[in-house]
Amino acid sequence: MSVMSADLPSSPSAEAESPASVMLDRLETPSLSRPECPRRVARQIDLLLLAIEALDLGGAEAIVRSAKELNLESVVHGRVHLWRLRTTNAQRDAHQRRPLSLEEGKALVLIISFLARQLTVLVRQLVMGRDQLRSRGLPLNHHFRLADYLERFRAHFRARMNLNRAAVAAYNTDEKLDALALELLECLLFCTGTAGDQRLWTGLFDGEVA
Amino acid sequence: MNIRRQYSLPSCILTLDGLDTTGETGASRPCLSVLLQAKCQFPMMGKGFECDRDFFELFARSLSLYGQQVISGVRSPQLSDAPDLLGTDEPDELEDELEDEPSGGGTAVATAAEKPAIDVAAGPMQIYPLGRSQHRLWIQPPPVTEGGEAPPPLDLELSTLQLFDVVEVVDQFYADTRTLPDVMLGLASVSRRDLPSRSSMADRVWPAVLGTSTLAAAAGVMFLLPFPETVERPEDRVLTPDEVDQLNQPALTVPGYGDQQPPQANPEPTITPLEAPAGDRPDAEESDTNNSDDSSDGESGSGDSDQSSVPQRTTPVAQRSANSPIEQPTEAAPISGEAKIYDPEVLSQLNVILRQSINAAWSDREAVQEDLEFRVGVAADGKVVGYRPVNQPAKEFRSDRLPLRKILFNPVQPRGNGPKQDEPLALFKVVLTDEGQTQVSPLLGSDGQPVFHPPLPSQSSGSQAGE
Repeated sequence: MSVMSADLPSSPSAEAESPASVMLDRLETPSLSRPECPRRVARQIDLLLLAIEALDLGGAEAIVRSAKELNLESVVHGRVHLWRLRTTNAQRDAHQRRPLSLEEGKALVLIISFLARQLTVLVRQLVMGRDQLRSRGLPLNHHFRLADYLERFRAHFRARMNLNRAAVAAYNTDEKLDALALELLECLLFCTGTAGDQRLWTGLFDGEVA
Repeated sequence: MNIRRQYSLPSCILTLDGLDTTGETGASRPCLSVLLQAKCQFPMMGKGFECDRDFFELFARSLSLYGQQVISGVRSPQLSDAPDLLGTDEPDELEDELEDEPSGGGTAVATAAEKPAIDVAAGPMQIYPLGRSQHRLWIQPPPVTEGGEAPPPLDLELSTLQLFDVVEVVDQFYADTRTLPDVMLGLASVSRRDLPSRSSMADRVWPAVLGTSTLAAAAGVMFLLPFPETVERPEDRVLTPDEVDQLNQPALTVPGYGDQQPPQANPEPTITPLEAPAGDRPDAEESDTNNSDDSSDGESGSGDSDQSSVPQRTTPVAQRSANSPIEQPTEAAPISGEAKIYDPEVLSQLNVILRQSINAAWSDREAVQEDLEFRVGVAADGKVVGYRPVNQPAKEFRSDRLPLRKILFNPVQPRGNGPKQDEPLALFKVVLTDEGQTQVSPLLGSDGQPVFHPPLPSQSSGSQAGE
């Protein structure tokens, strides 16, 4: 399908029903005062991608690759563009003052959900491991794979976020960052579901729509 | 034909029994359009319940909404209110990250031990979080038979993973287009209006109290300040006796000038500007050889004398408007500067410069039907800083067509008062003749007032220039 549209760029039918729009139409456009993702949404999307990178060593490449597999290349084209989209998170060190458009937000949510499904087994293992550790009153580092995820998430977060911002500086301890990472893990767990992408997209705008 | 659909995950098995009433034939998979009974089992806890379609729809919708709450942290208003004890513990993503206090590992155990009582009136299906990773699901299934006794309620504590399984089972049912196709997964974001207030009443009242008390404190401090006893009003400047003398004296020495001016302009005729020593002031003698209008000549002389008079300092605005009823105030004001350029060399140069600039700027000479006489003040650099019409045709002539208007230099600061008056000016009489000629002659010192301005024979630059 993508090859066809590349061969016939001027074909009106190809433009009207581009593969990306078919995918993006799966998610409803919320009614916002400004047609762009609010800052909180951009932040949450970036953090979820960060969690995916912490779960999967090749997560960064997987994100770019999944954009191709989902036919979302017209929205997320290439590694640099993906980085630019993620820097719309205001807490990033390299924050750009450009907003995340709804189309780009949809594409990233679809990618998150797609990758979360691929990581379903690992996510379930980690969530289950956390519950077991808590029920026994053990520290989180007793689960090797979970400790690995948490450590990598902390490293990613501290390397990329602007620690001078008050909202980022609040995560000044390992425990607080671990709690954030576990929250994101739960969120990713729900993204693996049948309607995970739709529920994530809808939930991101909770309290934002008019 | 009875149809049975089963959706199964480790923590939850959903079994739906129903009928196909659509009448479709040949479909590979019949459509379950009428639900007879729904059965939901939680095998890990060994519990389950049976219900009809209405309760099942409520069950599915509540779980879907609660799944969204786990993602966003915002509770949907369609869900029954969580007990207050836990509502405060609920993680709220919308709160600023600063308040995003991660909870310790023991939270779930502690809250699970002190589960609040369920308010049965809140609804037959209640679900809310217990600590961070535990969720309480309380279900009061409806009676199996009409009028029968309701089965005992289910009170389940689900881990996040178990909750996800239940939500996923429901999602799989929603996604199945061949099972109750009229029941859709209706996801909607929680509106901003439905958000619970994020701060306590004390937090919201505190700023108002602080503001009011600060205002009261400020008012109290202000009250202690004394009232000002006398209020000084700005007063007009009082003239010193010397100034009064200067004001009065010229009025006596210049007869006839006031005849040409409106009565209210009378305080101006003074001849005090020529206070410089007569010896070192080679006044430019006005040469009126080309000037055929003797009366206007005399008039210009008297006008010259008022250029730097004292009254203009005291009432500059009134003076300006009285002197030039036609011209703009900015045009007339600069002439009130003291004329101090007496050097004949400079005067002759300025004469040439002024004549050339007027000629350059005078485009439509046909418009002049009568001789127009002006008094023109020129700065040392040759800029025209002001002019004033002298005879009646000049006053009535349209100012926007005047060449003088075009070459007029508008200073940034008005020259009518203040130290700017000291800028030296040379005064010229300019006559724009009806034949399209420009006559320029120095005005100072040859105004028919021999008492003050004896004509100097060395005046060579004061020649007129006929074009």
